[in-house]
Amino acid sequence: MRINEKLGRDLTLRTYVITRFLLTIPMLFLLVTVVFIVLRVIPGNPIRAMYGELVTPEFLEEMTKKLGLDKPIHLQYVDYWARLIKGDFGVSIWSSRPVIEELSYAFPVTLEVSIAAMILSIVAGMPLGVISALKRDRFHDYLIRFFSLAGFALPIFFLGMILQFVLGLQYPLFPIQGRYGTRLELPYITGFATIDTLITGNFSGFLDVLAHLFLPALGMAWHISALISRISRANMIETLGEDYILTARAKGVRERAVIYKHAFRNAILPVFTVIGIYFALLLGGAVLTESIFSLPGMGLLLIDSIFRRDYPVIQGCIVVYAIAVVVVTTIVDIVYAFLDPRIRY
Amino acid sequence: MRARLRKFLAAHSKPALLTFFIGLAIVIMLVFMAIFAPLISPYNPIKGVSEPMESPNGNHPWGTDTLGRDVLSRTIWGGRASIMVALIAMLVSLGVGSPLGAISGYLGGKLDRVFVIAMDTFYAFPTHIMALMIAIMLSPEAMNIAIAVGAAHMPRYFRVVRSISLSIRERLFIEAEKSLGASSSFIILHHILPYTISSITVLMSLGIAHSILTVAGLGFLGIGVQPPTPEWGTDMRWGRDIFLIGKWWAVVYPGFMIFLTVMGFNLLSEGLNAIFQERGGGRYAT
Repeated sequence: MRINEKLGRDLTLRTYVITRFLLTIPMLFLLVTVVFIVLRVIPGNPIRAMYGELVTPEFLEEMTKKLGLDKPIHLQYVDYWARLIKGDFGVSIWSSRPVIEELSYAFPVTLEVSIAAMILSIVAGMPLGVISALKRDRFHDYLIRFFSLAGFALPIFFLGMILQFVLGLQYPLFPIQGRYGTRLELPYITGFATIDTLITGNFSGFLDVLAHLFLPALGMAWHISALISRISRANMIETLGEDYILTARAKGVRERAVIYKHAFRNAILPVFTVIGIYFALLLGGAVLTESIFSLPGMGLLLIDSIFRRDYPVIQGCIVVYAIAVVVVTTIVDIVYAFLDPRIRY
Repeated sequence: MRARLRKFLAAHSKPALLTFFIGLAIVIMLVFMAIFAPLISPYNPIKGVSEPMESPNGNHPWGTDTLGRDVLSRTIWGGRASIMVALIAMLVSLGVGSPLGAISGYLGGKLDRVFVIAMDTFYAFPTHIMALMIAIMLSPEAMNIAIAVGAAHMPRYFRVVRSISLSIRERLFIEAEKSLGASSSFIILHHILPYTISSITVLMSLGIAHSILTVAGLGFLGIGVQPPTPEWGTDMRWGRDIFLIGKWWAVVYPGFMIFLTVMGFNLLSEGLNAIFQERGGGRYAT
């Protein structure tokens, strides 16, 4: 009986994981196609847009051929996919470097600061939400809820600037710009400054990188921790009202144990489902944070490329965002399915 | 009228009413400020009227910016662009997202699956990047920014309306309508959409709050409403140059106004949500 049950569970889990993986295909397909459409329907000739109005007709023709823009749109679309699958994003018009190289420098920066922000917001948001739920409708609850509403209403760039001003200039505790001090020379190994300093055994460099990471991560985390605390609060309140909590209390389990062993675990699990969505939110918010703290990540690269009309880089950035979002949401869903046996297709 | 108000006040809890009325007061105040900007604003917002970067003083209570324009006047006028663009953006996402949600949830089947996958994909995609992408495609004019932001926010409306539509399509009264020969479009228009009104009201208020943040973010990146039109995000972009040398007023005032506006709409939606929940008919919209 037991074995059958277990077998049944694993089978459905496997179907779930496979279905979830298969779902990433239409998601990616859709996003990548939208990117193509968006960048191809931009009014006007992209080459003129890139090089200005002063190009010679010969150059225009040559570039049109080189970029494949003279072909019919459906062939261009096939071309586009063929090159994407090979990992060929073309060459940046601004720097003449392959786009993939630019991305391999920029992406780790964004991922690093987003992960740091995510850790900060979980560490701050969950306990606040739980405290809020336990002190429901009392002073602490209102205070925490007010802060979470306020955190949500502060524009991320405004908060970033305030942090820069207060913690960087008025009380110079943290560096306000860049990824690390100018004296630090960092080899490119993984692209993550934290990991690279640790690999090379440069511990003071590691601390320097962390110090640089703190303000941008805090600015991004504020907003997300507000959201996480709201959801944790709602879940905790709901869980505390469940019958099994009543049973535990009736059995004489101590209040602390009821809260931490019974309620907390069950309440916190669903919070992880939304983390995937929030991670995407963080990646998007990183555009603003990076431009304030001069972090050379994807956001800054994207914005700069938009102003330079560097289409291959714009396209590369957006495709990478799309892949990142799809991968993160898939991983989160699958991890959650392992944790919670109720989730199946 | 008075009796109705008294009944309304008696029927709801204090925190719900307090949140609702504080939010409403802030929103009304800001809308008045935006409408009557020409009357309230002391100076012309797009003309240099004094020395650049003057700190707050008697003539210019909120100081002047890098071009010597009055920050108070610009902030008052800026509310117009920000609120207007956010309002249109909200209407765009509402107008497209909720009918699609109603149809998708009611009809179900393959169409529903395709819609859900598409919307989930866009929902997961960062809003700022999505709005940026659409904004590059269109040119950066106020109307286009509104469309871009509206399109980026659309999946939220879709999701909420779809789930409501899905939950009521099996109900008896829908069954009864069907047996009387009502068409799908009739049922969607007369039964499903009215059913979603309380959730949509909450979402609309929340949607304006989100849109204001996104519009300001785009403005701050230089892709929003173009200068010299005053807009909070764009103004903060220019104020940033002098912010770090201690001239804070060109950033802090517009920043505070964004905060206040978003807070107002958030409180309003929070209050509405609580009120609808107390009535029992509403659902959690977030």
